[in-house]
Amino acid sequence: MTATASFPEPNEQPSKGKIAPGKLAKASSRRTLPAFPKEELYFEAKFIDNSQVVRAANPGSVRTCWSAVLSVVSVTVVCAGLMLPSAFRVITGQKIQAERGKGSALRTEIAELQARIAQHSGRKHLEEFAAAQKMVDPHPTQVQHITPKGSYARVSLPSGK
Amino acid sequence: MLYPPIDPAAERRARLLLRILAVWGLLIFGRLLHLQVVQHDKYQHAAEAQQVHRVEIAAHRGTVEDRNGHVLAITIPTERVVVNPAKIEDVGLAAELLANMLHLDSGELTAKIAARAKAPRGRQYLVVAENATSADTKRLRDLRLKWVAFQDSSKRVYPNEQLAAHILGGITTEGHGSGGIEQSLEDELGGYAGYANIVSDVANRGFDTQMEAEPVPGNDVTLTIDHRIQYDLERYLEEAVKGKDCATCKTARGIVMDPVTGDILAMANYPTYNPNERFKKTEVEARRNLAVQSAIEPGSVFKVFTISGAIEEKVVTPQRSYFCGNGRYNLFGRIIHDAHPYGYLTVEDTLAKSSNICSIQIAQDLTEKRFFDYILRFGFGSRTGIPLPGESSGRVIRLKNWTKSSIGSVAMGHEVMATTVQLAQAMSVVANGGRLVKPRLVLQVKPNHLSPYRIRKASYDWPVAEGQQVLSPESVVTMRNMLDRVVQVGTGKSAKIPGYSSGGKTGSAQMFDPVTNRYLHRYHASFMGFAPVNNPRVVVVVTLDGADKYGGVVAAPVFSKVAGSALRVLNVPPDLPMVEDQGPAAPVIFNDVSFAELTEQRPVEATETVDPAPVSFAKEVRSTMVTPDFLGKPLRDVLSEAARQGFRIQPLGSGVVRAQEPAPGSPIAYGQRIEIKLGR
Repeated sequence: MTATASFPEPNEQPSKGKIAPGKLAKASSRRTLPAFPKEELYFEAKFIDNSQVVRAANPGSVRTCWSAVLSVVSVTVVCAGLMLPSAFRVITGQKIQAERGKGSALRTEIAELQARIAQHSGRKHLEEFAAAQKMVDPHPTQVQHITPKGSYARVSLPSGK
Repeated sequence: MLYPPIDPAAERRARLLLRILAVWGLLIFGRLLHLQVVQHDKYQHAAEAQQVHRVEIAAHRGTVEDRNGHVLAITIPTERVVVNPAKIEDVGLAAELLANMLHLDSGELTAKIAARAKAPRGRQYLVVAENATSADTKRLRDLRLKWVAFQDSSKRVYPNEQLAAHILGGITTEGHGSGGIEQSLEDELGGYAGYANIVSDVANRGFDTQMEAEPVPGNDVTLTIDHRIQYDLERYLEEAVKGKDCATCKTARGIVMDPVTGDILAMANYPTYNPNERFKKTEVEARRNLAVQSAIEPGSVFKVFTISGAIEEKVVTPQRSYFCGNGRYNLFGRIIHDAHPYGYLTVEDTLAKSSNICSIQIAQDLTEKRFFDYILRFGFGSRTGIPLPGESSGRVIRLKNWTKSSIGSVAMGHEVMATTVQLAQAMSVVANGGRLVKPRLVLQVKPNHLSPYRIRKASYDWPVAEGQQVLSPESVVTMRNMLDRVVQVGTGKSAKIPGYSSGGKTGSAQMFDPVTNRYLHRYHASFMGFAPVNNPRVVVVVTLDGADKYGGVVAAPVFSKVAGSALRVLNVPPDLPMVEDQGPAAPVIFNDVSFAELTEQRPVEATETVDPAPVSFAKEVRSTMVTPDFLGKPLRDVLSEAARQGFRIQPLGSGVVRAQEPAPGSPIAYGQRIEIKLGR
């Protein structure tokens, strides 16, 4: 069956004026669609014999190839160029955050150590330590006072006297 | 191509439907316009309130150090550990784990978690540890437990415990200063909190943070105090109150001050408290800074200012004699007594023996108006401006309100009230050459060294106020010599410092009992002095409250210990020869009580012994000293010998001594400077 589907021509215009009844019936029969879509189409294998084809180098293919490679490389470079800064920003941001964390931990550690230093270098602790070690204060006559120039006294008191 | 004709009814229906759709679209468009344009702000705020949470970021509080950089108060960043009991599968195991890592009691923790798990949804948040250290939280954090969360927190630490507690104060649970320098310098120390907006999703999980304002950290503050002198002052005050010599003493207060700059080197009160511990109602009295907040009648120490005014106005000289009425004096109908009857006394002996009657006569010669003027010029009756909260201005009765006998009371330190810091300030006038310097407690303010932000103003030194000249240098020298005599031969013998000369005045003011409205036979026993005499480096004021003995007995020894310790800490070379310990001091010869009640009733004698032997006012041996021969000696030997004999050396050059001034064998006083020229 080689029934062909018939469709109204795109440029077909309905005739003006009075339409003949036979023509109307013919037009309606032409509008009839097949029962199943594309039932009039068939596929069949076609053998192509390439034995006689002569292979010859295409002088334009190298250029095409290189232009394709360059295009890909250019696009890659441009994309990388556009993305790298933001990638670096992300990595640097992570490093900064990590360093901040370390800095914060170090500051905490410094504060803890300073508190411990103050605790251990306080007179109370030193006296307890000295008592535990059975140390005794030197007699005043055993203490040698050097000139106060440049000593604690001059430095610590703004009066310098 | 032909189309079937359109039904007119269908076309009408289609047009109607189209109009309805158009109206519906317009309504939607209008509603959207209303919501997104007209009510934009309202719904934006509503959305932000739902999705954005504003959190406060606490500012790092500044560190407080002493003048040597010794940390007195520091803020340590910590972490608050919280758990969500609803997510805990095995409460016992979780409690055991937390207790092990955070050093808590597992049983107590189990009960807490179990109790909180029964709480309504949203209230199951449980703080397990308020201030966990970074080491503890690191181990816990590494476990990645889903039911544990960490929040930034901080802890204020006073590593020296009660040392300088009254100066430092403390902080409230909200982190604001409460008392002491923490309160008065809140603006400097506290900084300003920052704010951040946390944007959260529908499950209230934060996914973005926007910093609105970064926290501004507090500045570090360096105080003028020296923690070593502070420790000694606190220790000796405590020893004095708890000692057997002052069995009835309740409280004590003391100050060590640099008379030249006004730097407070130490300020202490007893009893004291530990600012690391939470406030207890029983500690209300212990937390009072008596040296600044409590004004008392100073008693006989006030005679220093009575006589200073008279000396400055040239009304009297140290050798002018007054008749002390043999211990009885009629002041406008009121009978005044001395504890021991004296006949004629010179002005310097009046100070040395602390005679009430002669002091009153000196004040009368000075006249009320000039005396009142000097009281004000010495700084009494007005605040010193020391940056501590609640400073008392003391009390000076206006001249127009004085009664006839007021001059008698004020001359010996009654009817006038002063704080310890006011006394130290006034004594500095005599010690520094006649200027009234403002006490200084803050040495420097500098940016916080532990904070990552440094956007506050640069460090600056707290200014030293230019003092007003109260006494002339000549009057100052005269007063120093007279106060030196008080220690050498007067009521303040116990105030002698081994190796150093010292001057001062004792005082024993009767305490007033507001309940009975009468004066008690308990005293504010005081000693107010300076050392060394020639070039005073420290002014020390010590008062023991509630003593049954006089200031010369209980307060002067404390002065001796505190001043001696401070001079050694400050590395001040001795100006007197070091002598071996000669055992306990001789009995105090005089008492120095100033009777508040100017009546016939004599106070009960105190328990100190009275030496009936006449007092020797022989010239001191020091004037007979001769300059040693340093010629040909190396500097080390010279320094050693000079220190032993109490001289000060001014070296020039290097090598051995080639010349010296004064010359060997010439008269010289203790503490005098000897210039030596060295050469090879």
